[in-house]
Amino acid sequence: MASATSSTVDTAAVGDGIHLPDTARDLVKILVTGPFGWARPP
Amino acid sequence: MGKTTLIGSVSEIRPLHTEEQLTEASAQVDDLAGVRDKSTTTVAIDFGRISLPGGIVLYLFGTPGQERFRPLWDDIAYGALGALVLVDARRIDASFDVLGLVEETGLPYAVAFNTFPDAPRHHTPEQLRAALDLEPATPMVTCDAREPNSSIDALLALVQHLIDHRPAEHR
Repeated sequence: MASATSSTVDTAAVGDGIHLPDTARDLVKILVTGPFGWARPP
Repeated sequence: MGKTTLIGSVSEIRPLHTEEQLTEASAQVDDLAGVRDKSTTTVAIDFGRISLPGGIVLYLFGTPGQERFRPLWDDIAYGALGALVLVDARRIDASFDVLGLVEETGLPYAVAFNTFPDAPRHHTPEQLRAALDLEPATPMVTCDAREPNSSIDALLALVQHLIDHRPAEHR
């Protein structure tokens, strides 16, 4: 399960976020998507 | 209060955000109907990470909602097991294109209605499901992307859906 996903995220420029926690068994890539235009300024 | 907000609310690492100020250049392109006070938009991808019980680690990729980013979709979706589609109950019709794109890709997905203070409350879950023409098996939840627990519940609904419908060779 991890192979295709890790090949993608390992090249992401996110600093320490690319490393898996020691307890990780499965790595899952999830998309969070939706239409444009419904956020508000903070 | 959308994709970027949800990822920011649950990520256990400092999320990568690519929000930029909306400018006059997008005035004829980005539809702000119903969200006139929106001032920023995602211009690339957002990225976050969350560890779930059982050793499951989710890498979250927030993808732009604008149609002009469609050419990026295949690359962004590569390796993804599923999608959480955030829908604004105030602008249901704006979700059709994104839902069509997700279905076209063949990704399993769950729908989360992001709640807003001024969101219409008169829609029942059945009406919302019918409006989006969702399959009976497609999970549909409500969430407040600002609230970590609410966002996690939405993600768990998707993960459970993925587990329930995983290919036989992975069971």
